[in-house]
Amino acid sequence: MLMDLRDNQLDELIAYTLDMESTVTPAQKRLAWEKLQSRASQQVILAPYGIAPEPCRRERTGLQWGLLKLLANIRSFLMDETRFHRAAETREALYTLKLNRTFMGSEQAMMSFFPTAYIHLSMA
Amino acid sequence: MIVNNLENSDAALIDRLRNNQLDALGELFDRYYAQIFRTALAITHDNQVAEDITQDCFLRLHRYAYRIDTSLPLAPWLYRVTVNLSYTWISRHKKRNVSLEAVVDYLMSPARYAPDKMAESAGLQQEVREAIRALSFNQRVVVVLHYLNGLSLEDIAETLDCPVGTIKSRLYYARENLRYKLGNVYGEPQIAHGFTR
Repeated sequence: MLMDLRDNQLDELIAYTLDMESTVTPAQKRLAWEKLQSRASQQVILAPYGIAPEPCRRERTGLQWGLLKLLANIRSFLMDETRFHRAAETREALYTLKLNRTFMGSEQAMMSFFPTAYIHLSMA
Repeated sequence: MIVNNLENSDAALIDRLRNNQLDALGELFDRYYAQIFRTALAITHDNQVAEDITQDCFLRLHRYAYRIDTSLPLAPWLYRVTVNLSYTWISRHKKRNVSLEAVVDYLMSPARYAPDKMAESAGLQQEVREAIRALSFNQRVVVVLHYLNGLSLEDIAETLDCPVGTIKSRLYYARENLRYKLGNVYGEPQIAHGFTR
């Protein structure tokens, strides 16, 4: 029967078999819909991508805002070095010192007073 | 399935589904239930599992209604979900699956050469069904989508997110596998040139 299966015969045989394999009756479909309906009604639809949920925010009083601002300023003063570096860049030319060996005594004081990274000592 | 009527188009129904209108889900269910159920059944060969997969597929359609791109056709999305769910089920129940060798042994048993068996159309369908069942998952999915759902190779490639060449290759080897196995059962095996599996 299948000794010489040609391409189109094989195609028809596969398609026919798959087609005959399952039939959907109206009763089956109705039952499936009833089941699906009850399950879907208990289900929550997910939010679309890209819409983040509303963040929870507590209302702050004026005093709280003031304290927070003060803390932020203190933190900035103690921890933030960017302003210091920016100022030091422009200040560099002012503190380029020419020191002789005779001033070595005061060199220590200069070093402790100014940041060493920004002082160019030329040992003439 | 292409629905031209704008009010009843898949996109419009999904829009309604986003507002949790279950009647829209009902219309989509009417439209696609048979295709999805039959696809799942052809892949898993289990009525109850196919029913569960179909239910899951439509529940996901409802749950992910906001995340479905309505500018694209819905059918490939449903097929993709069906195939993925079927794959998950099959991989979990792999031990229960009959191996290719076992099916060949079963088909080659002497009792199956009886003339009355060969003459029976139902018997023939059963052989083909068993042969399809013994295909690897990837080959079976391509066979089902191509022969049962009538998808072109390009559509299958889009559905499964694979290159067309891969789909073509899977279909070729699936057909050769089926030809070989059915030839083995009822006559001399027909081996294609270059076919080594």
